[in-house]
Amino acid sequence: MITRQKIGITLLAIFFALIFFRLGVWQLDKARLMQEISEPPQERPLVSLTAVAQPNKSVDPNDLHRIVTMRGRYIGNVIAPNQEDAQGKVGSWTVGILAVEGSGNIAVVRGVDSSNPQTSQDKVTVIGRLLPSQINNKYGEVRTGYLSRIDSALLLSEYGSDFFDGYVIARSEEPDAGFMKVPSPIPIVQVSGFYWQHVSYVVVWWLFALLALAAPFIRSKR
Amino acid sequence: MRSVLSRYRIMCFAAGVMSLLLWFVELPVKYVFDLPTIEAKLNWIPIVHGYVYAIYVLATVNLAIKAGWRPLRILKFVLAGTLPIASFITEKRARRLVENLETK
Repeated sequence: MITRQKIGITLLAIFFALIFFRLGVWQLDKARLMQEISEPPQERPLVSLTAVAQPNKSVDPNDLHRIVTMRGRYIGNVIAPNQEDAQGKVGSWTVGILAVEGSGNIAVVRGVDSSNPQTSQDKVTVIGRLLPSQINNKYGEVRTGYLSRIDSALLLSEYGSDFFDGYVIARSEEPDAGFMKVPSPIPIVQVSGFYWQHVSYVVVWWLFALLALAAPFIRSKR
Repeated sequence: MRSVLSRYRIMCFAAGVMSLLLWFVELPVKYVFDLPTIEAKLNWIPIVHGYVYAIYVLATVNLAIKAGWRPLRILKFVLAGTLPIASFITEKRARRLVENLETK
């Protein structure tokens, strides 16, 4: 006989089953995302800096870490101490301020510190990886010609206000100034959790959903 | 009934051990001490724990249906598998409940 209590229990069971099923789907989405992120990143085609960035505007996060090219003249050099490269090596980097042809200025990591970096007046073509401005200071001292972090905001007062957001680690300069280049491989996203861990949670949540549906039919012995 | 209880007891032990490893080894290494090198070696713990717990749930429900437990008791025993010591406690309780049932 169908009573109101039985209808209520059945509806409650369906409600909980749907919640548990949805939680399983959530974990399944996480497992799929884990798989996508774990795939090795593909290098995108070379693009002009001015095609993906403009002075005084934030770079689209999707365009960060791309290899860009630009042509211009260096208008100055500074030193950025205590910088760590992709291989964990710590050192001082020579950062050039490149006035991009027909556009603004951008900080370019030319290479490992040269004791006497030359600021040539020749035009140079630079190819390198576009990175976001650094947030944390690497160097505590306030000293002329030194950067506590590679951030265009620290260069505005001396080199003018038309700066591109972010900076470039140069892979090549033409003509070459002879700097030892800083390695800039494509970054690999590290995420916590594992595909099979999330799949196990999918199994558990969907098992709970089945149990919730079966609960109204479980007869207890009194 | 005895074989069902045995399977449940084995899964209680397995789920309890995996919960202990998860709560007192893997989670502290990951979130308290922040040791990525060691964490990488321990990444099997949460994976195995997930699957062991699923089998524990099945064993619990199997025993519960055979023993005629009410849904609320089933829920308590199922949830016990998520906590480090709780499954060892419920294993003892389940043994007593089954023994009482058999003597009736």
